[in-house]
Amino acid sequence: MEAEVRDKPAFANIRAELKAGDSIIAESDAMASMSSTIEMSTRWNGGFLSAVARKLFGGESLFVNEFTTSSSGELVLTQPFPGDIECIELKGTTMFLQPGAFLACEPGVKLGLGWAGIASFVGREGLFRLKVSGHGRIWFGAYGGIFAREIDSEFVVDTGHLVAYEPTISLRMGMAGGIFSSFFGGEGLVTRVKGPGRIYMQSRAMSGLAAWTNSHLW
Amino acid sequence: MFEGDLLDDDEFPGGVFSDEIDGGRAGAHLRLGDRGLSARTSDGQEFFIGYSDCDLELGGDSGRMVFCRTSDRSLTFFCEDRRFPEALKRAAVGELFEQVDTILAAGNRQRWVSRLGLWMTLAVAVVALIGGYFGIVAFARVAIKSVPIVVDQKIGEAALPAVLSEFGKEIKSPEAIDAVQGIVDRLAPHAAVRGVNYHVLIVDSNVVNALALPGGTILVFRGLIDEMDSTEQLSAVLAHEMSHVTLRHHLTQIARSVGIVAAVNIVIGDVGGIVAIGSEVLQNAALNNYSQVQETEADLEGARMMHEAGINPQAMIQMLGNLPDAHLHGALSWLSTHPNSDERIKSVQQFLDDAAPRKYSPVDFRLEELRELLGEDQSEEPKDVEATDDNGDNNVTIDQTSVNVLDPETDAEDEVELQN
Repeated sequence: MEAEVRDKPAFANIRAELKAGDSIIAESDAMASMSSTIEMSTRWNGGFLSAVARKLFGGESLFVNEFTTSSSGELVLTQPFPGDIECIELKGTTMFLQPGAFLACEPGVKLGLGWAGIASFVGREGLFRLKVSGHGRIWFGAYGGIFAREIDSEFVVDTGHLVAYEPTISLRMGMAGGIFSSFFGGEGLVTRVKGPGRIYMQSRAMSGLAAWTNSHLW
Repeated sequence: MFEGDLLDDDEFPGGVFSDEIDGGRAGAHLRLGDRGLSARTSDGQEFFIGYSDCDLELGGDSGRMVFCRTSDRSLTFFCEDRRFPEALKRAAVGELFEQVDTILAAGNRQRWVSRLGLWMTLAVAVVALIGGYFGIVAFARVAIKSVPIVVDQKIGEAALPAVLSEFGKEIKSPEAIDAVQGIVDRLAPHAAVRGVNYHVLIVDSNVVNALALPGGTILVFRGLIDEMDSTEQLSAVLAHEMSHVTLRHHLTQIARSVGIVAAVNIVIGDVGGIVAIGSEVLQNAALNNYSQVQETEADLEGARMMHEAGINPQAMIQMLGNLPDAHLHGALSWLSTHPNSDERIKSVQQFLDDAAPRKYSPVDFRLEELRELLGEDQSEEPKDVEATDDNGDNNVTIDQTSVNVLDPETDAEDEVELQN
């Protein structure tokens, strides 16, 4: 299956060319357009209970759609908010995604939900996170541009900007500076990540947009 | 990491970081050999790190992932299997023994520090929550005293129609009302708060009850007048209810019921909001129960007012002592919201023991006269009275004369539900 992410980073979308036997699994409502030769089937996002758990804690939809074709066809997938989409290929490895980031994957990828811990919760990344593992490509999205960084020692990410990270990365909450600069410098708490491993960050945080919008509503 | 694969005892699921792999990483099976650690990826690539060239680190998201890295860090194996560290110690035959123990001890220390930090954070949060609650309560108590009494009056006026419709019809005998009002007027100059306009209403109900609405309206039930042994005991009940008004217990109850919303309304001076919330809370009879502390406060303040007004406050103790008898007669209402008489009697007795001696004078009418007036009022005007059903709708009509012949026990059972 050929797939490319177009219109990066503001209004990114996935254009996939499916051949006979190819398959792609996507969040419900992700399909923007498709050839009439492509068939769509809907199923629970895992089993019933795990689908409910992913809906409640992982920010994902109850159902996922599987797109297949017996000949060939084109499929365009997108996310509901503006922002970038990134593709990574899992080779027996695992990746953690922040709630709501998952967009699509190939059939060899296994989706799970895991406890993220208090540090993640305080860092506004949620108490739970999506765990994707196995073999195949996955696509995930975020608000703003997505950029990756290989971490070998320690690195500081502002809360709400961490989109995805490998399980070899450890997270620790901390203050951006001293007590005064942390709370009056506008940075507050930050996430200290320690490698080795790769992290994906978003250039804008949705919570920042929401706070900025709210401040103009009154 | 090939999840679900069956591995030999010396094989563990893990992964490899290497520039030789497309993408820089891959899941792998790690095998502990005689001289070193080997890894085979799902694509069949093989990697090797000798035990003598292996630097160990502990980390990862779980804090339990073991990293085996070459000294130039160009190759890294990682494994999260709990059996891996001990197996590595055995396989490396002493070469990595000390390193494994060191990183495991550091990991345990780190986890202990993290847990301690978490518990301390939770403890601080709990203390902040409890402190915040009591801070708000203390703040509300101070704020309540600064609220003008006119706010209480507005709440009382707003709640009165609903309260009357719930408890019964008003007896409009001017002589009877004047007699009770006379006691209130004798006590009023000695109240802690000046400017309260006390106004007595007599409710035609067998229930032994009296209640005060914020602002000074005092409802005295006919059943209470029937139950009291003396005019002084009736004075004690009136003084007690007046004290609830002057001590602003209603506003405290409202603030407790609706919490921070009322406190904020009080602070920002949103009188309309307080009146709306307050009248709603008071209309819910179950919420109109005072705390034990408030009841004791009202007893002591009532006893003080009686003492100052020259009415013998011993009647307060007698009245409290009679409450269990009233309970036995089935007229439970006032007692049910005014519990634990013994403790309250002790508090009032202590106050009287400490009070300066004073000459008391009797109240200038007899209770029998009041009962006759109320009896005349009922016999003169036998008319239909609208009562309320459970939904508060005025749609049940009862002949008033039939109310008086109801069996007190049966009657009381129904009325127990109507707590003040």
